[in-house]
Amino acid sequence: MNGFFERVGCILRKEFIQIFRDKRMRVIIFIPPIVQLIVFGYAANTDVRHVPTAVYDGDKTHVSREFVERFDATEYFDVTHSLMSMDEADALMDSGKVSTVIFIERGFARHITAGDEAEILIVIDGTDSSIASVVLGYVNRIVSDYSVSILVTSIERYRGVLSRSSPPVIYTNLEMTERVWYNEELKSRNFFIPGILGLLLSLIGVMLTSMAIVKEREIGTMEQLIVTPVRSVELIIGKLLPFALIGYIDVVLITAIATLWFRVPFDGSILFLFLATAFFLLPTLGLGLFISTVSKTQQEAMMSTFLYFNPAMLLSGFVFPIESMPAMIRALTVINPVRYMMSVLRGIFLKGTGMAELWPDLLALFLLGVLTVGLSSVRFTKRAK
Amino acid sequence: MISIRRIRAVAKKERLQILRDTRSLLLALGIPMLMLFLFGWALKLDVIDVKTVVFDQDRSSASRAFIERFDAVEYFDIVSCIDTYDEVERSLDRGDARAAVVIPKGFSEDIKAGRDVQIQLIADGTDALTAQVFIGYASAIVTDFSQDIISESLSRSGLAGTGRPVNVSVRVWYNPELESKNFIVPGLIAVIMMVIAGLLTSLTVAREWERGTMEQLISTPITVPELVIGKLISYVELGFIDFVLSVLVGTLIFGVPLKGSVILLLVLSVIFMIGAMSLGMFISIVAKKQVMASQMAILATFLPSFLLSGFVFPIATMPLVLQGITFLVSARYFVTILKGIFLKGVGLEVLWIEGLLLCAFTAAMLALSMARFKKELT
Repeated sequence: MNGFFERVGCILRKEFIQIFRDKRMRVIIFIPPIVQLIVFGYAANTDVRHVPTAVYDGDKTHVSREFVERFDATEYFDVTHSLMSMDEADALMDSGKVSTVIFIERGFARHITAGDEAEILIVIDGTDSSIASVVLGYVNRIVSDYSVSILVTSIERYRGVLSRSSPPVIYTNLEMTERVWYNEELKSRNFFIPGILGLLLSLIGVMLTSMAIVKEREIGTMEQLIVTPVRSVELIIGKLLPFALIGYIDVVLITAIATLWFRVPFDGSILFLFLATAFFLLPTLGLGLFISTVSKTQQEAMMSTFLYFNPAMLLSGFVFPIESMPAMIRALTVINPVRYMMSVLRGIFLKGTGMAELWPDLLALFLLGVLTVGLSSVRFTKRAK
Repeated sequence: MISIRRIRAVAKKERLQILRDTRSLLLALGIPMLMLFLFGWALKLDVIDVKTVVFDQDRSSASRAFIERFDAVEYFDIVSCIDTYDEVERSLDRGDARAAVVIPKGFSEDIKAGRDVQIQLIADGTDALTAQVFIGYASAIVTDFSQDIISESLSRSGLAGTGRPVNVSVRVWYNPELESKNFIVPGLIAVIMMVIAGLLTSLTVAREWERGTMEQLISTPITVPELVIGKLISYVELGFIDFVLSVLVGTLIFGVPLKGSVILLLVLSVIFMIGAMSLGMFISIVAKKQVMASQMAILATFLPSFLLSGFVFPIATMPLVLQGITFLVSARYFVTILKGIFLKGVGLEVLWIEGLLLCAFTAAMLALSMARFKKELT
């Protein structure tokens, strides 16, 4: 242990000088994460509001108008086109100018007042199936609310007609009140932005670490380091720590922008976020180290990072839910550290959960970290010799 | 001016180079297929089997019949019945469940007595999109149940017209089963093509500079347009094979419908690829180093084509500034074109704007890379 801290300290000092002397490096560390966060934050939005809607009202009565009004009154539908004939709908739907069409046939009001079944046709653009599913839900909701209100009026009317001696009509109106937890306004931004933090942290960690080590080898200074009395464990720690620190700076920066600029709620504890970051940086930096041991050039390191990052991002639950994936892929995501960080970050930001709920994720990150750091340290040491 | 013979010669040289470099060839053909297979299979946005807990405070046959309705549809997967409100909280906090149905005490009594009943659905709103979808499903189940009760009591009282007052038929066009793979796979093809096209060509010019073969090329009578076109031809050929393979995988293996014209699809894909590859070449000319070139290519292709193309995130909901930027992302036009031809079966009568803008982008990129190239050669 003698001189351990001194030697690690030396490497650290050397690394910091090297990283921050390079002007390009200074820019790479801070600017891309901020730019990416802002672009992502604004672009990653799947809120379904103001769906452009066309209406063909063949009935043109106050009953049919009232029905259409029920759609227009919500924030989900905007009636943008009134159709004169049913054929006009095709062109509007094909070009994507509207994504919902409501067809009301002649005689709608007559059927309603007579107590017959009135027919309505609603067409939804299903191209983007998830948005269409949300629209479908709203359509069903508005229509069944309308349906129930008509049933209730007809029962009330019936009650008025009947004398008190006849058997009472008993009916129940079942209502659903929904309470949305964690993201009360159902804003997709609140879901995506904590995820972006995980993605950026992972990208920066893996890329910078692997490139920095490979660069040292490329320009030949690695040999100089090997002939010094520094042991490889010390070298690894000294190499990884600066990037851990950069990771922390990015976490603070991104969290600040997310909460202050994008107004994403932060319900958990900031200390726990820092703790979780350490757990996540372990496998992330370990992977960077691993990539550096299998890449000869910075070019290869870059490509390997990309080949890792691409599936790690798509299979992390960032956009595409892991529960919806086939069982085999789900099993594969077990080794994806980003996946655990996603649930940790969303837990901290939105649910306000901590160690009590999130320990399984941290444990998984820890195990993955030990595995990657251990494996790549062995490889690194071998190569150094 | 432009000699077909010389273009052929360059194309032949490039083709040989591609065929000999097994790593690039593997990259060019293997990676797109791998990505398409893996992601086409793995990435879904369908909301099924939402893990649900039930807090049934009534425990009557009526409440069980009500729960049965949730269990009967594929959208909800009832994982457990719990006894306390605390447990609801815990299972949502931990993520063991994403929804909780709370049935009040006296549920069956109230129904018999004709009093209104409030059912509570607690939803984990973290993932807003899927939450909205399953809230919609739940509400449909509840109103269905409610209407059945009302109709039943009406007919018990001898009232005619026990049917529902409004019969709505909802039709979903273009993707009637609402399967997410049908829009994810075409979008994925666009993203993959963009990334591969950019990556492949981003190295080609930088490599010549690094290996010193650029000087040899300069000493030949070849002109810049001939060199650029010759290089593009060989890479577009490669990209075209990728695209045809992707379309085959998409339609035959993933069962995505291809309703429109195949010829239009292929023609527009070639135009898209020339544009994407010219962008790659432009990056290669500017960067001069392979490392820089591949980094810039990834930044310029993957993130924009994933984020700003309308692949998963609708462009219409973006702020105006960002919407403006999407016009510079050629994948945006290609995604619209692919979705249009695959799912809607529309042709140029609808897609002409996207087609024109795609041509404009390609022409601009081609001109840009040729203009930049000239400077470097002299």
